[in-house]
Amino acid sequence: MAILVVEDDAEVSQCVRHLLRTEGFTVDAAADGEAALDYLRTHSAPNLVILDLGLPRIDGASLRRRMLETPEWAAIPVIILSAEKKPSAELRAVDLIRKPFSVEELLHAVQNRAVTVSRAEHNLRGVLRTQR
Amino acid sequence: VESVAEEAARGPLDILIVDDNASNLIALEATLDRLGERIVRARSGNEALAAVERQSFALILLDVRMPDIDGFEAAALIRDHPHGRETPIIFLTAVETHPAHARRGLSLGAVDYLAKPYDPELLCNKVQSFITLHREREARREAETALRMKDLLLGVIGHDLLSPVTAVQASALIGLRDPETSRECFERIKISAQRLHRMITSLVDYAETQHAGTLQIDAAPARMDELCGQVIDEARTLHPERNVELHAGGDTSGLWDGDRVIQAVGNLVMNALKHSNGDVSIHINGRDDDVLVGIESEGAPFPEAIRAKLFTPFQKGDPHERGLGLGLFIVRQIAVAHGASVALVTPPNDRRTHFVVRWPRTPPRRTEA
Repeated sequence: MAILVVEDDAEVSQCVRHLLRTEGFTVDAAADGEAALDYLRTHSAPNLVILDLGLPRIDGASLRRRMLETPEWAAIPVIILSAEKKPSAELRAVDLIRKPFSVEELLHAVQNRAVTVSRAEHNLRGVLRTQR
Repeated sequence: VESVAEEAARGPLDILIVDDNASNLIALEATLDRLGERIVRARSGNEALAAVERQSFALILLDVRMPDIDGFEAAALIRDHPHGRETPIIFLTAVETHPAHARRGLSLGAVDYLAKPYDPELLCNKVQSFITLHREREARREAETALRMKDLLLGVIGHDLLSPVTAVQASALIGLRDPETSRECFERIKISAQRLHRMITSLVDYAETQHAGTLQIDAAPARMDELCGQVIDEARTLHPERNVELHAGGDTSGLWDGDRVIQAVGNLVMNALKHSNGDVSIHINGRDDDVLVGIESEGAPFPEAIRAKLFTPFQKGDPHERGLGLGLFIVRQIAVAHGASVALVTPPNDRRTHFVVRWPRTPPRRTEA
């Protein structure tokens, strides 16, 4: 499962990537909204985006809106990582992790997604099998 | 120790009196003398306008009948100037006493329209009440600014300090969970703790300026080229890939707080390294009574929008920029405590960013509170 971490704070970004790598996920990073858009344009869609809201250049909320407006990115699940208590519901995040976060919180949220992804893959394979 | 607001509320305020007749002006000034405010005289509408262009006034007393531009025209022009937009104007007239004239005066935004001869006692009372209003308005403005700063401070503590704390906490948890990678975690904890330390030091400096009005300095004999040399050494250690140069000429000795000078010049040099990608240089020029320290870098032209608020606390070029937005504010406070001045001397659209700090050789002696 491939995860994109969008976080401008170098140390926080390193922490998240470090943790997810030790759990066996494939992780890439973008340090601002602009870099994240570039990444999305030039790579195949990640299975999950972990998104900080306070980003330079294009902020997290604007990036998320751009994702929702773009058909091939709209379905990518997003976990918001933020100091804010309650980010706007229109951002349609699958989960919210508040800073400072605990390791369990982050892993729990990501693993929840991983289960959903593998179940979806399982179901999709099932559909493909029955079609054959 | 008194706050800036209290000081401003106590000092004399400026009142502009305008009359083409010299003896009228003298009489009016004598009448207002007992109020203890500063009186500025103008002999014509044009002189009044020139005065308003130079400074703002707490109140303007304006004669109606004057040659060239009369009081009504002068009032309209004063209202057009940013300094005069809100200043209360009282018209004084011996001739145009008809209610229609008074209505015209009031329609121009005057607060009163008085016939001459005026009763000195009544006029003084009237002027006094406008002065009091002005002081109250100023005090309210100061209080609002202080409140806004407090909000910004709380925002900074809640938001900017949170990132390094998050990194410290998460790194510790990850290291405990997976001891094999603990070295990497310790490294991150170290960097984040250093960052937290810098932020807290800035906040403590900020608090000191808010509480005591200025930073305490401990001046001792020092050499500016040596102090700046330490800044250069640190800059080269942190950015080995960048070219940072020091040029010194003239007598560079003086009485300064060395640590504070290093902090101020250091902030300017670190900013230069952050916002440019070319060479950064420090030029020291020892003159008769002061030592000039210039910090120059080449990069994108300095954003004009930031210029006016350069030294305001919690001001950042980009709201999501790392750091608290206190760097230049502290540079200015260190300069002020030394009796020094700091300015951005780059002309608009120039690709060079050039800050100059003028350090007097001896800081002013502190007046004991």
